[in-house]
Amino acid sequence: MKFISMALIGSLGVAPAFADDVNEIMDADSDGTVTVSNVSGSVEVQGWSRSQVEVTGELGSRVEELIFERDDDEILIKVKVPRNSNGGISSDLSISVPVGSSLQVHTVSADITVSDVEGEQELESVSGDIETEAHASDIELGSVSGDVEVQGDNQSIRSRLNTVSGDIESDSLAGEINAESVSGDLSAINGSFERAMLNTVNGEIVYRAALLDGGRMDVETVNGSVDIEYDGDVSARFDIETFNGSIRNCFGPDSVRTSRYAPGRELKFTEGDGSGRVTINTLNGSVRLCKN
Amino acid sequence: MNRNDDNNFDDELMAKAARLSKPVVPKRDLWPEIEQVISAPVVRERSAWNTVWAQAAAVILLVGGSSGMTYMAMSGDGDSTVPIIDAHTQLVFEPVSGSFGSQYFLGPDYQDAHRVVSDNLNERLADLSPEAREEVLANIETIRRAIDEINRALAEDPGNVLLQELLIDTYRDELSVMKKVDSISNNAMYRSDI
Amino acid sequence: MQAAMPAKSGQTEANVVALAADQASEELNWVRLAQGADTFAFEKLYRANVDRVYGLCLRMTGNVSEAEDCVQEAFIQAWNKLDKFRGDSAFGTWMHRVAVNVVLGRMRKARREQDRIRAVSDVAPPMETIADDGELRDLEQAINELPSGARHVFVLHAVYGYSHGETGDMLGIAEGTSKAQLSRARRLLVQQLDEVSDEQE
Repeated sequence: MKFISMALIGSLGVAPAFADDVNEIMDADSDGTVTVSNVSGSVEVQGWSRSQVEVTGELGSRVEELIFERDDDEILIKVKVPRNSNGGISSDLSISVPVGSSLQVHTVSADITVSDVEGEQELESVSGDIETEAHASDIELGSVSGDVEVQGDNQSIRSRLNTVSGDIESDSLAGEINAESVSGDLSAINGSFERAMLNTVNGEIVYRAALLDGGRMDVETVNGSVDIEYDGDVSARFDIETFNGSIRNCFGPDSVRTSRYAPGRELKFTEGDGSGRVTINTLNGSVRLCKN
Repeated sequence: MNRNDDNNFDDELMAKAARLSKPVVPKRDLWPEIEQVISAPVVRERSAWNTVWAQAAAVILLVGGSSGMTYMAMSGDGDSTVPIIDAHTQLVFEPVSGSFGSQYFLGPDYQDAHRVVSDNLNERLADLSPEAREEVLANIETIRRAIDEINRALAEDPGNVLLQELLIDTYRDELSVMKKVDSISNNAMYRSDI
Repeated sequence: MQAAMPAKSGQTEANVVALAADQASEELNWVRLAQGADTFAFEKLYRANVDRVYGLCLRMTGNVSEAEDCVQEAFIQAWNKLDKFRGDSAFGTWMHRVAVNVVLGRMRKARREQDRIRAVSDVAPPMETIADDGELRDLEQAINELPSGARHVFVLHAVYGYSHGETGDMLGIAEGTSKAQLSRARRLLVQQLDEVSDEQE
């Protein structure tokens, strides 16, 4: 039998014979809080209908212990590692929690993947990617360099999505969204918002969702481009200003120079009954404004 | 193959393996690039990013009449109050003696906030991986450059309200990013309650 | 300047690299100077050890360009933490440790970037063999094709003669794991080389 030639990149070698397998379960409140802390590896959380929390997976060979404790309505799951560890701490956890739980996950480089959790979610990582489903409750997702991806189901909630350089993608969120990045790209697709705040320094901003009547949208970027295509009609007063960027719009009047002597363009107009308010400010970013 | 052959083959294998430990001369001289890196002026890591933030104070800043400053807790974190420059702060344009025209300054409140936040972050960054630290520093550099660019534009057009708003917001972004990185790292690595 | 003797299994590299006493003290002088930021002294250390470090990098990565990067990064890292070298082993042995660290670090980084791109690359990096001897070349090729965990252990233990304890220490794995990986490597290599020799018959 010929063994497969493995590329250097992506080869994980054989699982060390001494990595610990985890398989523990305990009773939990059906709507309690579950807090997970894992430095590196991965964290997968899925909601289930049992009033129990189950943890399975593999701990790195240098992990000191897995803490799995309950304090009334709170469950804590923590991978404890030696202070200045160099290797052997990467742990993969797969956690099932009651579907009504609130969830807090903190990692350094471990990726976080969550599904079927209806309670509030606070998911943070330094460099791990974060992927989750939003349902009935508010979410707060933050990563420094990892990407953030959230799939909503059109229920009205508050979403805060924050990165330094990772990209942010949301699909079918509704209610309020506050998405910020320095150099990551933001995109909010589908869904409908009463309040949308989208802010980057260099990242691109793409919005392909509805803005409800009376809704408020604030978009600001220094160098990123802004690409908005409203889903359906929009009723708002528009105030768009750029210093060096272009403004291209599919509806409403054309933009005008703000001053005869200095650069800068602006576009101020009212669409529909003007009940909402949209402001867009950029230094160098181009702005495209359309609706479908 | 019978057992004996297996053992012989295995022994041969190990003998051959040992021969592979002979030193190998690289195809090209790798020293020049190494020398370039190690001869570069040494900047101690800590001071490297201190410098980035020290520049924050030196860079042309905005004056906010302190009557307009409001203190607000940063979201999600009740333990420290960081002054946020109120977007509606009255900006005071102060002519500066000399030929350089106007300058905008951020008041001492901002300076204090900046110092607190950057001290905390300094410590966190030291414990991050080099890649993560590099990522954060590069992005703070991005913000600094954006601030410079806006200031340069403001120098030409000091009354430009869009530019003033962008400048204030970008300063706020910088504080907010530093605070966020500090908080994420702290939660992931240091909190003893989790 | 360098001891070009190949390692035998069971002997530690430090023993094999038994530099003559005067060589050892000359090396220590250079180390001391280099610790004082003397780049000329460091270059001497480089010249004296590069071939051994390159050999290790090449065996562990199986790829010339990776090995070259590994050598450079290893010496740069060595320069930056030269104060940590206490002289209780030969400088060359210490450099081996630094080089192994670099290989592992680059693999972790490459893996993270690979995940980000989310693309599966079918193209393996170019494998290179150097031995002039046909049989050795086959072995080289076979080692290059081992899964990385098994390859690293095989290179350090079977090629360079580090004990399982030392190998485990350098790779950040348990001694038992090192033994398990070595068995696996031997089994896979025997299978692979068996086939090759069958093909040639």
